[in-house]
Amino acid sequence: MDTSTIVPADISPGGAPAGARRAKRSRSFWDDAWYKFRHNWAGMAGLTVFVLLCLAAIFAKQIAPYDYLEQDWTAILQPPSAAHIMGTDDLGRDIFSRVLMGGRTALMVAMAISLTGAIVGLLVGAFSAFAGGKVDALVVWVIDGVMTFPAIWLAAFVSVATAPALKNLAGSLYNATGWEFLRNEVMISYAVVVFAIGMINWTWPARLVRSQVLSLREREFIEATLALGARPRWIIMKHLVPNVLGSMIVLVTLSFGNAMLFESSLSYLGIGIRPPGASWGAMIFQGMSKVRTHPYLVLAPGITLAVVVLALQFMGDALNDALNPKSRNK
Amino acid sequence: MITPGNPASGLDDVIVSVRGLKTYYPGPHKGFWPWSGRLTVKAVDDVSLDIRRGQTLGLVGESGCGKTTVGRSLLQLVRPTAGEVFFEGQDLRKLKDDELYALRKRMQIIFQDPYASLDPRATVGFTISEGLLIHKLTSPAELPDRVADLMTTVGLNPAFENRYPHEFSGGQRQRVGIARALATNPTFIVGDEPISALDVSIQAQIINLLRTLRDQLHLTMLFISHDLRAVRYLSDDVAVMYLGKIVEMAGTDELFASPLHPYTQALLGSTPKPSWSADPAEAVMLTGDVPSPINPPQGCYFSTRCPRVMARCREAQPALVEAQPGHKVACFLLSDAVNLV
Amino acid sequence: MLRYLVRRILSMIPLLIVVTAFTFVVGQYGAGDLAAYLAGTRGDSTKGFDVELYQKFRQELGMDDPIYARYANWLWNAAHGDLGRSYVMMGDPPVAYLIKNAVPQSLQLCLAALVLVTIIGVPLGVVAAVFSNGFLDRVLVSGSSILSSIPSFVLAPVAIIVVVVRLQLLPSVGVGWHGLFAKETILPAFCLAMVGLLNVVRTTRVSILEVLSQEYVRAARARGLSERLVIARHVIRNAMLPVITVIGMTGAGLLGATIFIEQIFNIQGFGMMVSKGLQRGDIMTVTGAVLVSTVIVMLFSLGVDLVYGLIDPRVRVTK
Ligand SMILES: Nc1ncnc2c1ncn2[C@@H]1O[C@H](COP(=O)(O)OP(=O)(O)OP(=O)(O)O)[C@@H](O)[C@H]1O
Ligand SMILES: [Mg+2]
Repeated sequence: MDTSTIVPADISPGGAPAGARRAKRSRSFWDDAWYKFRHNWAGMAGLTVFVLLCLAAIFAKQIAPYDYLEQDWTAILQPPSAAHIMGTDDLGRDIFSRVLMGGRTALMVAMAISLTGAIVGLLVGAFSAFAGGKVDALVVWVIDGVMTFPAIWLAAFVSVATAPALKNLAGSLYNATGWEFLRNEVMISYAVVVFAIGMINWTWPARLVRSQVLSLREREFIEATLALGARPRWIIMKHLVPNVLGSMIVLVTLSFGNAMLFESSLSYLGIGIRPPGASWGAMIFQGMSKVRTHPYLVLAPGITLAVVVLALQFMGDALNDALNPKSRNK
Repeated sequence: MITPGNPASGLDDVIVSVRGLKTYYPGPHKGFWPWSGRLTVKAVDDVSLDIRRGQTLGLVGESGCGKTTVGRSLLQLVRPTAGEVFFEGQDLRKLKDDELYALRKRMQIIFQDPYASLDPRATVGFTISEGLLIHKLTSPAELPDRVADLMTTVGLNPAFENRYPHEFSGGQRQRVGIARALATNPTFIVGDEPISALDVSIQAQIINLLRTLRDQLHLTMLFISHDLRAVRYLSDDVAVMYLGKIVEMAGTDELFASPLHPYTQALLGSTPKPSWSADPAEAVMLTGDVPSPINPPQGCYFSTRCPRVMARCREAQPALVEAQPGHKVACFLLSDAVNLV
Repeated sequence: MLRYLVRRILSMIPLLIVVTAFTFVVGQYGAGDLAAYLAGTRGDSTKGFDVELYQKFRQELGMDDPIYARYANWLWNAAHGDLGRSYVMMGDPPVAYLIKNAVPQSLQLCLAALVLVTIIGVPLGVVAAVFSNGFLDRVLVSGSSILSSIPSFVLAPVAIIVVVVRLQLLPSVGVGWHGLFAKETILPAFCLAMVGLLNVVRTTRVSILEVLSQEYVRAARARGLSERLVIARHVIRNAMLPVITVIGMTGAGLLGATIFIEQIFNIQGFGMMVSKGLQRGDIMTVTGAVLVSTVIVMLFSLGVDLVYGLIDPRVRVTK
């Protein structure tokens, strides 16, 4: 019998049976991580959902049976049926098509936020840790300050407070360049949402990178590289970045789900994506007034949102188990 | 094979010379606030020593007395607070960053902890070749051969080049650390307790490897350890440290045969097999804790634990003076004797 | 202890100042020319408007002063309990009055949710730890992770549909606040509690596992104490410190989520006030709310620290 198939994913290297150890020896760190991830059902389920979402978002226009803006006054507030598998809203728009487009919105916004967040966080965190002393204390203080505040309120506040300014900016840019998209209210609302959520999102990676750099700096291998005559740049590129990458991947995954949730939250509050842009949050809000009689208005986008957020959560947890074996609880 | 250092220029010249070295670390905060001032940890406080080409100086002392800090200060891995560090006639503290980076290929260090000192996410091949890559000493075509060479030299199978540190045992890891240190053909190596984290059965192998390499490559060494047997086996001279200061320094045989400082006597007495001690009953036992380098005692730092403490010891600090030819001690018991003579 | 307390409170002041300064400045600039807005242009500077009225508003709002002077003025008034008036809803009572009426309900709601999340989350975490890596552990952790991942504004309507509309277990909701012990409070408090469930379950689980691996627990086991006794007597007490911290920190998150819950359940609380203020671009209301919520969150963390100090005497000495 092939032992390797029945060995649990989190077996300790010392106690592994011979078959497993042989299999393990040939794997690199990343192979090993992938092996662990593959054997985590929740993580794989999360990954599947996420991949499906990405595909659906990319091919939204092809998959959607209707135009997401098309109003059909003969089919208002239809419950789910063969023609409209998630029903129609109070303007007779096909909810399924709108959920697909909302997925595209959420995905685009989350991608922008988590990538900029990761980059800004990486820079700030690394800078802070290396600068040390007063600079570091100040950065930590700012991060803590941002974090004491209920995150959604901060995002909402920034979104409201900066929307007029960004709109003005886009207006003057339009006057200078004549680019039509700068007058597109939906585009501007995207920018506002990304900016508002981004203001908070960078703190998580920054804090992580900082503590990682600090703990790595304590590890002697950094000093060993320094002793070899390496300049700081070499140490960062060849040692710090690869070591930080594992935790970063986990964090970006988790912050991706978080960003999607925040986008929906802002749109739900009416200060996120402007109509006619499609957003799950806005759809939920619009459906709320009729939730008792037409629950599918809320359930269709709501369950989609919950499933996607959950999928990313499971994926992040599984990645964490796979990439940071030390944080695993026995 | 590894090309040896440069033995031609005479064996007697001093290659490493330290004068009045002080290295202080920022200690804990004095007050509650993050901006309130910090105490100073006087990890190394006024140390002077010389190492001649091809010789090995052993540095011993209890944990926390500043041995590692001396080693790190020599290589400028920490910036000393005061004093001069000469390497091959150059004052390292006056070098520009670029000059220092370039010079580091000539002086290397082997670390105490073979687990923490290797990057868990770098193959050992990369780790060993890193110095060559940084200083562009070997062409890419020759690199694999050179790495294989180095691995053979330290007793590793070159086929393991692409493996990660976690696949090796402690002894093997330490061999990787030694290969890394040797890669750039250094003339001077600091061995910072290179065997203390290893199994006893492996310590002898590594010590022998170090000795062989040192003799083959004509390396100059600072060998830090609290294993007195290893120091005795490897060193030409020995310096004993206590709380950031050198209290006694002499040729190895001389020091082990007739230790003069009460602290050295106690150290030798506390070795598991004091085969060199004529009469075990003579051994002095140490009591009490090592004082903190943040707040060292008045007078002689050893006065709080010294079995032969005198009133003076609590008031003034004894200087390190030559009690006998080639044998320096910092103790009033002996400087008085010298004065009387 | 008293000195520690004073220091802690003093160290909060800089953060408070920076947070409010940030909100104030961003808000004042972001909102555009308020005087022009009030003078009838509604923010569109191309429209003509009554210049006299405009000047009058500018003066009234102190807009000709430099921004720091206006902030200092606002802060000074705030310290005396005056948070100004809404520029947008001119008929509204002063902001401070609105907040005073809204905060108690929200705090009670949060308190109810905290109690719920504690009595649900801590036992679940203990059970998960006891059966760590077993089937029950996975089910409990995934289950709470599911409940916490569902956004409040999805969970709440679903709960209303299921519990109120279909099962008719609870009286109809959406008619405001009925007090802490009213039946109507159960559902909003429950939905709010779910926000923090995963955090509490996870922290409890991890800290119990940590304590379980400690020497004195093994010693207690070796003495022959039964597993249940070991957990009841040694483990839970020692594992509670991180759990208390997390519950305290959850408090802040719950306050944040009231913005959804109160709107859905039509509770005229703090969250409702903020969400309305945000939707109307009502900067004075929001700035005042930021100040008050920051104070609340800080007092929360202070409270956590104090409880911590009471439970664990070591903290008092070292800090
Ligand atoms: N980076 C640092 N910052 C502050 N204090 C330090 C730092 N490194 C070392 N110290 C302190 O300096 C003193 C000397 O440390 P050092 O590591 O040089 O001792 P050591 O003799 O090498 O000890 P060991 O035998 O344990 O390796 C110790 O008290 C230590 O706590
Ligand atoms: Mg050391």
